[in-house]
Amino acid sequence: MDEEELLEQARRGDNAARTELVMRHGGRLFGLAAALLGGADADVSDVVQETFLAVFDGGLKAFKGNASLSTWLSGVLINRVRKLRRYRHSRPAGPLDAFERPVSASGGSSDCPATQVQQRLDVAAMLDCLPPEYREVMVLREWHGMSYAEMGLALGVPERTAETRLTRARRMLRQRFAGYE
Amino acid sequence: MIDCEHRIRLNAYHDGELSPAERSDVEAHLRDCPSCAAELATIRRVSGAFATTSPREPSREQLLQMARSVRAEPYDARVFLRLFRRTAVAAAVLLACAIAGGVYLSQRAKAAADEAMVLDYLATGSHPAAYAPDAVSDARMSEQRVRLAQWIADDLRGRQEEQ
Repeated sequence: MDEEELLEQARRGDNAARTELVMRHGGRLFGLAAALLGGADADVSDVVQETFLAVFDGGLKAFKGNASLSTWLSGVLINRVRKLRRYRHSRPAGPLDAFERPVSASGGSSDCPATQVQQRLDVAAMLDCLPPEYREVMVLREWHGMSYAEMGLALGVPERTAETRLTRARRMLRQRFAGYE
Repeated sequence: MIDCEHRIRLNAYHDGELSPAERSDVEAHLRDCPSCAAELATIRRVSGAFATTSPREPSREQLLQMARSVRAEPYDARVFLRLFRRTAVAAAVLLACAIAGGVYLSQRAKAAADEAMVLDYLATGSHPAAYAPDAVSDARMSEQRVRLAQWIADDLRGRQEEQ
């Protein structure tokens, strides 16, 4: 079924359509929220759930089909993450927020589980050191494979701005992790 | 080298965002510019770090839990809730109107009783205390109103005598 039609049915209260959309997009949105928030699973699940509820029950009528549903959902989720981040900033940072993960000296690909865990920690440390708007473009580009135009739509900025942020994010990572090979 | 014009589009080249003509230009430049070639290698290394990992994924149970948490309320329950909300709002409005109307009518009745007291005292000379409305439960308030009616009546009578 066409995704736009599926969304319309979900908005009318069709639970089968809602479940279908969650199963199609929930995993990807969970990964995006986890990468942007870096928090516990409970927080991440809450944000994804709020995103779907806003899309199904809220007054969001902005989906016009100029972006794919996937890109549009990413944009809705990013707005939720930004709100949560503002809320967190208004409260004292907890120890997990301030924790900086170590970066290994070697980052080559390997099938060894220990190395994979280390690589994951390395990438998490990279993301942690980036300002939120740079972290957004890195995750959308590197993990979600979005084009610059799609990133612009998801973030609500011009395509060129998305490109500039990505360029600066990579430059910042290069300076911060100069010894990373 | 830092001012190399192509450098600012190296990311676009790496991400496949350039047209074929632009790609050819960048590739020709890379052959002659070791600095840009090194820069591109760095971009690839950073991207490579991400490519070796993937974002966290929810378990199937977490996904199903999410799906359950965004289910719509059953139709009957939604209709009932909507009706309940509307009825509650209508009842609250009616109650507020009834209270306001009661207060207004009560005040009007008191004012009419006071006016009747003054007019009757002027016409018959009978003591206004005889007209103190029984409905007024607060004795002190009732006494004040009688005194006020008497004062008004005496004042009016005095003016009539002066004329």
